[in-house]
Amino acid sequence: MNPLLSMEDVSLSFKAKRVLDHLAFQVERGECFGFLGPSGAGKTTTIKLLTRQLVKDSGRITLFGRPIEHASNADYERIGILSDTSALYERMSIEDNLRFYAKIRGVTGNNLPTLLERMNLADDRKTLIKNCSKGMRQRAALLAALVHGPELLFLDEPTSGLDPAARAEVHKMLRELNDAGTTVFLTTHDMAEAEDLCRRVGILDEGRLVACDAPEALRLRFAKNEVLMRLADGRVVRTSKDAAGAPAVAEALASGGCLSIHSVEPNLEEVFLELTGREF
Amino acid sequence: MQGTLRTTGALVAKCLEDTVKNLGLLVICILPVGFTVLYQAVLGGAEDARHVMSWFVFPTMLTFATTMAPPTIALYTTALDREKGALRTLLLAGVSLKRLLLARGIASVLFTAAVTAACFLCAGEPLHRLLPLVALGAAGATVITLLSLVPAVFARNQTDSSLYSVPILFVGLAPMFFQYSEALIPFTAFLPTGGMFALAQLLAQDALFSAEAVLPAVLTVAWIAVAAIALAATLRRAPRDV
Repeated sequence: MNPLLSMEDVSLSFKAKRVLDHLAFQVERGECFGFLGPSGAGKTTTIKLLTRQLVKDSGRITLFGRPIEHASNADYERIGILSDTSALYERMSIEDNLRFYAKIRGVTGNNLPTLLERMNLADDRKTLIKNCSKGMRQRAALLAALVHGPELLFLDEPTSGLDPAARAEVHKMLRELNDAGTTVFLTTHDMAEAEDLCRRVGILDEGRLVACDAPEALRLRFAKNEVLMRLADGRVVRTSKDAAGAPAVAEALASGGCLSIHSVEPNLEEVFLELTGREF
Repeated sequence: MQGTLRTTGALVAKCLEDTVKNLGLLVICILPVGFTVLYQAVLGGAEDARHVMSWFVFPTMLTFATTMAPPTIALYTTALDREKGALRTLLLAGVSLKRLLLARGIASVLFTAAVTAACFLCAGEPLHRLLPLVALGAAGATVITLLSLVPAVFARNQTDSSLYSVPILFVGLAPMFFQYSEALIPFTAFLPTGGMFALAQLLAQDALFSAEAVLPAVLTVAWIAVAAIALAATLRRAPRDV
């Protein structure tokens, strides 16, 4: 199957500094794909290449199966983009901003009440953007990227600066969109967000893709050969996952004092450390 | 085609709405109307001053109108939107910089034409001069608008736009100041708004369609072409990442 989006051996330098180094990945239709990495890793630069805000030095980028150089305006009408510096018009209300973007996109805007409701902005729809909190602005900017029902969403740090409640609302909406078939490409430095939302993540470090797989698979790849058991008497017993550890597990279970058993897998931050030798 | 017109129309309407709703911008843009009202109050009553009123005020208020509004609407608002991040959002919504600047340009010329008409109505001049004056205002505004859009491609913020608008203001108002020097008067028509200025003086004498109007008219069209070429060349060098 043709991927919806792909990069092959893409590199980019700004003056003498190599910011992206032979990047290669694919995103399938209907997938939620995350680009995970610390600040300065090249996540935003990657999105800018994919949205034609920057031009690559070498390599191949395809969008909807065609080279990005041949992408038409019609292709970009199927895309919604939320950049890290997206902002709406401050002297207009949330609703007026969204109606304006609906007009720009050539849609009726009949879905606006539903979108506002889903993002918990219905009661604040008449609030001027300049009077909105950062969380409200971010959610409104996300709605502006969704107003035309795009097939593909590029989201650069979509929950940056949001409180946990607002972040949960955005996650819920993104999950619903993805379940309904929208392909999502997002960048984040939040491990929990990547694990929560993404079917696959690409881990970026200093412009290089050091790993690309499902979060679970990445964790299992670096999992230790260990099982951790918490016992009722407060002890924590570690044993190996293979046959050598079976007696200890059996004994704990037989005693009736075993509170929990789980394998020891790293989180994505620890995966990053394993891959790069540096902390996130 | 319909989509292009729809988008451009929405952008023009938004630009005009922004100008009207922003008190600071509105005051700058309608300053020429205030100027005309002042002159009418000072000069308008006296019979022997009627001729002076037309001959002096027509080109002067036209120069003001075509110089104050375009940099404000075309340059300042674009730089402001870029600074606030709203420009990026618009560009990422599929609106090209070219289309955005076209919409700003159309809004600028339309607003200036409206200001010109308002100035005219405040001046109490014979109505048969209205349409020609508005047409001259639109022509002069087109030159200054195109010149203002050139720095709009690059102006990063309000400070940049203020700096870049200074030479535009000087260039736009220069015909007025040339009138104070006998040595400079013959060169007035060669200035970017000089052709419009000279044509307004002819209009005040009801001689707009005389042979004397040919050179200023040609020079005005030439300046429109020069400014359009400068803008096109600048757009080719526009940064993709705004």
